[in-house]
Amino acid sequence: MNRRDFLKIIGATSGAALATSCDRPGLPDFISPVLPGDTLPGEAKLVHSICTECPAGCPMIIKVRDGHPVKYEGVPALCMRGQASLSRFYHPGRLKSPMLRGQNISWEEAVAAIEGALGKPGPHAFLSSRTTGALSELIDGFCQKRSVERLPEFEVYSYAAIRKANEIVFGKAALPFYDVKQADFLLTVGVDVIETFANPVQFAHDLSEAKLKWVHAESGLSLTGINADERIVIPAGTEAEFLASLPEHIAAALKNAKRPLVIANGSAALPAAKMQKALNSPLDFDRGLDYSRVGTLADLDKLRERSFGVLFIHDIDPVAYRPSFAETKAAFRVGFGDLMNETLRKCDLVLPLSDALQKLGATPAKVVSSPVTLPNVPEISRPKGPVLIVPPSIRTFDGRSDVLPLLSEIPDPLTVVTYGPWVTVSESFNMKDGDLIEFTVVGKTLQFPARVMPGQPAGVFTVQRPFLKGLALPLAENGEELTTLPLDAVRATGKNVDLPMLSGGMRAEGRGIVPGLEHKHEHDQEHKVNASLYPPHTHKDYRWAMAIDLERCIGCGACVAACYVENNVPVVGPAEHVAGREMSWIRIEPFVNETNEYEMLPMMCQQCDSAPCEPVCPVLATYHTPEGLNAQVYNRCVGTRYCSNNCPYKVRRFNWLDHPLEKPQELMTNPDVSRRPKGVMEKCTFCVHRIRRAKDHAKDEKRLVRDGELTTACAETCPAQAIVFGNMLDKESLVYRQAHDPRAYRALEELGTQPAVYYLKAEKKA
Amino acid sequence: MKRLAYIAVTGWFALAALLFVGLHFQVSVREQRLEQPIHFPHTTHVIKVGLECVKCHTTVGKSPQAGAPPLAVCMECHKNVKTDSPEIKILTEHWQKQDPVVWSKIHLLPWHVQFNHKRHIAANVDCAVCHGEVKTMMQVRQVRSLEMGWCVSCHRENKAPTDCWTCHK
Repeated sequence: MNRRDFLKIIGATSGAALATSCDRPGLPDFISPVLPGDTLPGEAKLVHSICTECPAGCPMIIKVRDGHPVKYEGVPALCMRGQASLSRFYHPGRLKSPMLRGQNISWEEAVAAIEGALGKPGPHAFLSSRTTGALSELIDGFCQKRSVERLPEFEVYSYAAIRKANEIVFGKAALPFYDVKQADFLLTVGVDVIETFANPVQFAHDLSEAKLKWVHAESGLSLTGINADERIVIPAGTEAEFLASLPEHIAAALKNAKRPLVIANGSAALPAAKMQKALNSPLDFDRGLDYSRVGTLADLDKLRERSFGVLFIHDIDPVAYRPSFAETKAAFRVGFGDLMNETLRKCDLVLPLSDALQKLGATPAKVVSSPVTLPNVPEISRPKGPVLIVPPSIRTFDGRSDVLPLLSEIPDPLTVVTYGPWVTVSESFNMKDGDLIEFTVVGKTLQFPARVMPGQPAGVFTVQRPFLKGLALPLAENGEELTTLPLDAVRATGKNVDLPMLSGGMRAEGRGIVPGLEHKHEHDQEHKVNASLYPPHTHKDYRWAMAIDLERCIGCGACVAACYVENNVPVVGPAEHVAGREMSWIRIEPFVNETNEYEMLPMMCQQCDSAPCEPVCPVLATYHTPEGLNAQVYNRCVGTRYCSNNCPYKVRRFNWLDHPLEKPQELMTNPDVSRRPKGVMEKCTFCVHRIRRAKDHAKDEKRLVRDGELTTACAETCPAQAIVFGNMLDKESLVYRQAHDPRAYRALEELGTQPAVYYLKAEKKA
Repeated sequence: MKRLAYIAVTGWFALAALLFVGLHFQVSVREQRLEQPIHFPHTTHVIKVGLECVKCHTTVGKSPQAGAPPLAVCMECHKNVKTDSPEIKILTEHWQKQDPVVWSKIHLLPWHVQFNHKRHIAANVDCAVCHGEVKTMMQVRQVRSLEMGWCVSCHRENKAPTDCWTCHK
């Protein structure tokens, strides 16, 4: 390029830049409401509701700002799915109008069409997901009045085996509440109690308060398994055999325990129920989730033998799990749903559901026993050769949440893969991450990229159920899907794809990041000096700090989802992830040692007192606040990324692109937090907007912020109560006490960064 | 030839500068002459009738955001006062239809700044310090720059916090 061309380009670009820099975004409105509201402008209104993202139905509080819900909070906790379900409310694909065979029609026309069809010969039937409370009564009322048969409710995970076993053993065909707080020994066999089983958030919460020894037996590798005090690997499909002949030390522990709790599902449900009765396990049938109206997949298959007039299908996608359901004979199909799915595409009339927040519902009602046919004790068929295990997903449950893009953005906690699908394989299979594997299951040949996981048993392949949507799995005698299937023709295709994984490696390499898991290399201790040339910072009223108890942390990723929603962190998509440009401010890092024991560590900005990012910023966009926070001033940042390069914790995120939101997602934005444009660096702020608000409220009363009055989004949603946030200058505060616990340490402390995040090492391991 | 090139380049930059100044001027003009759905003369209400600012702006001292007065406040008087004026007829129509009035916002802060009205009222900062003498205005316009230097100079004078994260969000 010659000088003249250079000048031309400079001139043209500077002119263009000037012209665009004057362009202002649309002016915000200043609205006079009709009546004074019951809340102040700029303050959140709190509305009680129930999460509808899975059948557990956790109670939650909706934070409403200026008429828009901007955040869900659990009472007392919410999982990753619950946190992300706010994006279902604002999903751009939400159905807006009734549709008759693809044509938009009015509600009057839709009702007339239903009336017309109901007048024709029946029988008419109503199929819904598990419903409770007011919604269930409403459907009952409708069905009685219009002589519509209410079919057994559809849930992929119906706990039929447990209910049948409990009817035989306890005379109650119900799913009990497992009162883990009353137990002093816990044995779980193949059930992912802290991921999706029954009421996982409640279980994880109770478990964090329980004092017990926990043994988990499984044939794959799960988040539940790595969190147990002892993980036992058993051959696939032998859960019942395992219970029948327990290892000696477990049998002895069960005998010595005062109130041991045994939980198992599937073929092991009946022996487990017998043990529960014999051992006086703390079960509470009055507090369990009411599954009495829920049928099995076998019940769904039976519908094909019948012929219906009008078939109502309410808020479910059975075609994804039993494709043959689409062939069920019905003269007129009416589907209810919030987003288009395979089942709704097969319906004559589609009716949009009101949003989750307006759905009628109730907390679990009292359990009613219903007659269930006695089961035959299923024959144990142990597949020979390689097996496929099909568990539900902690991110999308049975797949109903996979329409929420945020849940694909957050890594599956244990495998750290974001955008799937993938198959988890054993290290012994001699593959690399991303190698395409081909196998045949139930007569269908599938290809999935491999994710090699230490601790995955040899010969066991794991694909989460949502990735097998559209495939009908064979049913067990109890009417539930088999979760262990024989695999044929497993072979490597020789191809490799880019698997979006958000972890460089899972070995701690002796750096002492997780001292509960592996020993730190000795020589590192020599460097443990404060090498700063600057005088230490002084703090007047506050020095914000965080303590994370790794013994409590289960790595479920709820904090990650909460952070995304609270801080308007953009969803960037798989291509950016493969390029290593994920935007999450907090991540869960799994670490594994030589004996395949795992430890999950939440990592976010450590708010260092002697922060390596600060001195390298050429424009002072990042600096130390008087309250000990490591601040980032977005509009001052010029995007050199020096700070990110100098950060030993790799928690700074650069906006490579703008991520415009599709309407109406912009209403989901938390108005207290900026939406960052491209070209600037961002990171965890310790939820500084919450700090600001708490200080504002305290100042009104002329006092300092009290301990416990303020917490961060990640700490607030944590089911295991692992995260504590507070003021280090307050010596009575919980965070001060935890930071001075003998278990407390700071990550990479020998670098002299003096982080404000204290980890409490897990002592059960290593 | 070479000289011509120099003239062209200089001319181009001059044009860009002119464009910048022009657009800037246009933007500031747009800010000051925004059309409002109802002509609301502050001066009539404050000087002639003698109302205090907080009579209508009720939440300004209680909340981080000031918020626009609810229509119910307007109707306390205008159910009976000047009901035949064309502007009040528009107001009454909104009230009868229970339809909120969407005003054009005059005092705008950049996307990365937060401002807490309550704290400033609690510190006895007069409304006019930031909003100018609104009571003399037939139509509200922005008279202060609301730029960072202007904010910080006042914060420094009054020993208010000058940490970046006080205002930058």
